[in-house]
Amino acid sequence: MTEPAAPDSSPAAPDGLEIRAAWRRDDPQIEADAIEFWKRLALLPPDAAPEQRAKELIAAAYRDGRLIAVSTATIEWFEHLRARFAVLRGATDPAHRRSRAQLALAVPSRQVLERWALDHPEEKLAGGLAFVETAEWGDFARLPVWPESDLALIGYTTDGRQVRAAWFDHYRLDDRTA
Amino acid sequence: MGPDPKQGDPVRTPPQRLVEPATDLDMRPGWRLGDAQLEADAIDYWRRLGNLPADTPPETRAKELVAGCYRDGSLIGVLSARAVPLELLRARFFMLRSSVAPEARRGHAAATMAYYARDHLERWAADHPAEKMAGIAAILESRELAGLGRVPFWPGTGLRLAGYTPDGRQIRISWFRHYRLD
Repeated sequence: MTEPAAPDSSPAAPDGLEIRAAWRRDDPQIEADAIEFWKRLALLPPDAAPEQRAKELIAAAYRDGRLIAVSTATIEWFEHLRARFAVLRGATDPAHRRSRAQLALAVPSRQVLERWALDHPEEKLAGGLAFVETAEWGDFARLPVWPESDLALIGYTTDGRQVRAAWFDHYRLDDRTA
Repeated sequence: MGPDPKQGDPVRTPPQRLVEPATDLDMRPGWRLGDAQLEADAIDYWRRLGNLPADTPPETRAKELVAGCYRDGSLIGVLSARAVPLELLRARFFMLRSSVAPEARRGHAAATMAYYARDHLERWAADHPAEKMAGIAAILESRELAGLGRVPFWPGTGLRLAGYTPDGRQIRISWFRHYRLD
């Protein structure tokens, strides 16, 4: 198996986007840009502190030096799969909704998390998990497996959102769950 | 509207197969083909091994054959399926069952049949869109799997862990590439 690289940045991303890795790096510039992004666009729920969310950044997409989209994650136990997953969130500047920024973030975000999981086996991070509002994703939500991230539909929440999971290639289940 | 899935973005390189297919086996397709020879061989196989549940007539199970696995002209394994709705996924899947003769185990027959069956059923599903078959699925009997059960994604078949039955067995699924959700 090929181990994932963890790019610092990905200038070759489509549509002139630059992807900057942020997971567990405490990068003050990316965090400040993200906080300004969330505040300016009022993208966070009232109970979410931008400074705290900034510590959950996986990667950020920039165009012409300006942050236009982010991916974030929290690590949580997911009982349905009996493993710990990075629960993924994404936010995109409404002015750039058609920029495919979230798609550009998908591959490097997975690589960053998978590399980190390999380097921190004690965390037992099994993969990525996303709860998807189908109305927000249009035709893309009809694909059972997203090829960029390998996020595959594994079920639905009680309120109808898709539950998608991607297992990291290196991860092995505990004996008691296998 | 989300991004266009048909655009050519980079896609991750999938990992290699965990088990290579055997090269000394001949696979014979069976799904909805009414192959009398394969069915007769399978019925003889099940009767000889006595490995069907008591309430399952072999003639009925023979109509569910996906593939037979032959070595030197003898049937050494069978794979069958039923088309079932999986409420968890709101879609119809081929639920696979696999059996390999005890003397032929550890020869990669089960993996070889699974790879073959996936392609065979995916082609059939693509040719019969009215059936709305979304993929293949399996409930794992862990005693036969050794370390494979600890690998959550099997690259050769695309079977990935998607949950557990109430009695703790793994539910694995693999979506067909052509399928689109309603």
